[in-house]
Amino acid sequence: MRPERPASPGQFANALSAVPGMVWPAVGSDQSAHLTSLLFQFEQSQWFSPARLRELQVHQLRLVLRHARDTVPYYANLLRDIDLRQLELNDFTRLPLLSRVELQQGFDALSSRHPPAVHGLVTDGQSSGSTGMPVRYRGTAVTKLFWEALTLREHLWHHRDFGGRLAAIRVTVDEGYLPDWGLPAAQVFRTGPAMTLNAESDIPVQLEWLQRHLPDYLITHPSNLGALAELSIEKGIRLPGLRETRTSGEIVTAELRQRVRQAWGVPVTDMYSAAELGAMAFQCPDHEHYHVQSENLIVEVLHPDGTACGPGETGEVAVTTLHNFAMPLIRYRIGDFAEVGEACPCGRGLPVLRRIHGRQRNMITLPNGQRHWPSFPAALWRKVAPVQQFQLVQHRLDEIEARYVMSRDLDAEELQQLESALRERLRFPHRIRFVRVAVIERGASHKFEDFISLL
Amino acid sequence: MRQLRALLAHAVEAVPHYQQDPYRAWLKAEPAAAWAAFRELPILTRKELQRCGENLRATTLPAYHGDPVENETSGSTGIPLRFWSTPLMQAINNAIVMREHIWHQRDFRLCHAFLRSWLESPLTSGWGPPTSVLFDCGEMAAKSSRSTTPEQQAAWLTEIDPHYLLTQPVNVRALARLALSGRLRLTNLREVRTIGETVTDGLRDLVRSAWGAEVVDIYSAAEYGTLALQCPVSGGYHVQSEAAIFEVLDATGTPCGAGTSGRIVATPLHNFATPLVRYDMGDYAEVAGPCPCGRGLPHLKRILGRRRNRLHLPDGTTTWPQLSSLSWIELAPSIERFQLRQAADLSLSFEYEAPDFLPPADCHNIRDKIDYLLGCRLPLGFRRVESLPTGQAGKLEDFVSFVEDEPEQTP
Repeated sequence: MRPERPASPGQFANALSAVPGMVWPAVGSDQSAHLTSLLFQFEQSQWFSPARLRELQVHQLRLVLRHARDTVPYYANLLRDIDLRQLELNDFTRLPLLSRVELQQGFDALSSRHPPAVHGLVTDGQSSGSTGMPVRYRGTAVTKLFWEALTLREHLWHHRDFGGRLAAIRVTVDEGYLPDWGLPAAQVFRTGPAMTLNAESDIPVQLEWLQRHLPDYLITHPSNLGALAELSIEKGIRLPGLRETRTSGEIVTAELRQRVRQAWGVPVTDMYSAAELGAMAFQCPDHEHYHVQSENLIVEVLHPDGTACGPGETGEVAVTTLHNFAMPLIRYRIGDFAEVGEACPCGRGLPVLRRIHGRQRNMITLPNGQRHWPSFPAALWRKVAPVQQFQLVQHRLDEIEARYVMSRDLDAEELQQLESALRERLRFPHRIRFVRVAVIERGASHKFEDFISLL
Repeated sequence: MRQLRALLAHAVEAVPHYQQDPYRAWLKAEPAAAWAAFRELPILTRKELQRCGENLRATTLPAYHGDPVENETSGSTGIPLRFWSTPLMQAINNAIVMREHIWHQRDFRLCHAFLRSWLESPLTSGWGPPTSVLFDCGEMAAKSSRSTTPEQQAAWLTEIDPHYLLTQPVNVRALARLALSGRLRLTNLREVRTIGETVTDGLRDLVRSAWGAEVVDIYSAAEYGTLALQCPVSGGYHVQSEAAIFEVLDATGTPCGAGTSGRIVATPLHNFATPLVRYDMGDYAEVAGPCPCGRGLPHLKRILGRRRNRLHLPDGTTTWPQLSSLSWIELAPSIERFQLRQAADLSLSFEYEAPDFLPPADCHNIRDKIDYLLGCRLPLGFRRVESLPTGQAGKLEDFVSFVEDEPEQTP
């Protein structure tokens, strides 16, 4: 039996009306109507059984595959001999995977020659990716609409008060003060103001800025959030009024959640998305794991031999877009790894990703061939020395470079303590080379990686 | 309350009838006192609506409400009137129509039959707007209930064998009786949807016995749109609070509590062309306690019945004469109110209030239309009266029968 659905906080009572004299219920603009129409469907579809969701996905998949076969050179041959009208998921999982390199090199071949006019304006974008290898991609007004509608779903899932103040500290924005939250929220709802700050600002500057603006919600990169939480704890600074922190773009660890709770008594809500794919998975409103956005894409988690991972197993993520008719991406290996979760007790039929691990290059390889995503809580460093930032780089199987930012060099005792703590975390007695640096640069995607393997 | 304020701000600005003190003063009421002050505003009766005419029509409309649409009705209370609505109000009503489908979890892929006064359509793809605008629908067919006998309707339904049927309760009753006597077999029927008249518990039982199906009723009126929908859980009705403020008042004008009955006074929130503030259409309802379904929309136990509004025909059958479907303003513009009464010998008397006697030509027209509506000719006389007798709280019904009614039973 389906668990009791959560009571709606009724955000739509504050929906924006485009018609004079119509305050409630709101009759929104055309764009707002499209978004709310999708939200209405999402409200129902999230509770569909996994089998029903798969059935509906297959209907949509057949359409997108037919379009790909007929208009996308890359897929013309690949899909030529398949009866797409009868295609089932089993047939689909036998289709070849598309690598990131193939996407990088195959922009033209992967672009549809005839994107349907009704899908709206075709737009191109470029994501540098954390590996610094640029990926060009293409989307339509429809793919944008889905991203926006799912973004709103995420707001609704987490019962956000649109009247609240939203602070965004990101690498892609400058300092500013805006009258509303911007699109898509401000398209549908009456929102409070938003304020932005560039994430390259010094952490003390960011914290002072937050104290000045006292937002209800803070959205930023996990690494930045971690640094802010550490400084807040160190200085005993609270942010009264803060209700929730939101993250995307990097890996969120249990330790980050714990430190944020310790700093400000609020949760971290993470989103998993990619520029070329849109919203892929959102944190469950009731748990810390993620729900795949099955209305938008098919997410597979695969063993190295291509078979599907079951609950508790970790594998590589392959994504198929269901509504991108300008550049359909089919079984695209985005480069991330994730752990599959059990069905969620919340009752949603949307598949569960228990953990998103990040990329292969964030995995350590041990001399015995074993691999894992290492974790280095900042607290581990700070317990030993006033380290501001750190990053580990694996150059060889048995050697790790430990870069750190600090006002002075680590002394002998600190080095010894850190070395021993790190070896424990890495699960191998690596030779650790400590290097003090002025600053640790972010990658081409502006994402911060605390572990990079150069093997 | 936010929407009511927007409606009244417009009404005071653009509708002559509302450019007077109580309405202007209400807009200045403190938010905390606004509800109490609202209940002090005058109640608008059908007769006033008729008398006010153009005075209730907005001289201007805000953008995006669309061009006003003229409507005419005599409702079921015998007072012909004209009013204006807007495409926007229609859109809100369509949304409520869709809500009703969704509440009752209808399968849009199945076949839907409509037996309505005027509607005619062969079996065709799609249920028609608004449903077919949003969903991939199965087939629908429609037949005019006004121009067909129950036997003809039964033959037509047997051919269609629909999953859903929408019609007036009077037709349902006749068809269910045919089914119980073995003259109408519907193998697919899942649900009987009713509109336009009161549904009794007896009718619900009758339908269960005939087809094992449930009746799902809709309460609507031309001036309001859809006002209340049957709850999928309780079987009572939920007021559509997004579309109207709905009051049930006792004879002293006090709101009725759970278990008590009173007249329905409603304020449609989105008709900016003819704003109706605290409008008493003449219907009655019984208020229910909170609904077990959890919805906060006000809960009604039932929309009260009007058995005495049934016309008895010489062949022993009964029908609800759809007097409201006639264009009274065209037929006899001088009539202010009327009531058609049926005596124990089945003869009819058309009683009316008007400044003068009806000219013979008007009487002749009315006679023809009533014959056509009833499908037979009953003796009919005309009588001009000073004042029509009104029932409880001034309620005037357009048709009253004094033929003794047999009790409704479930065979």
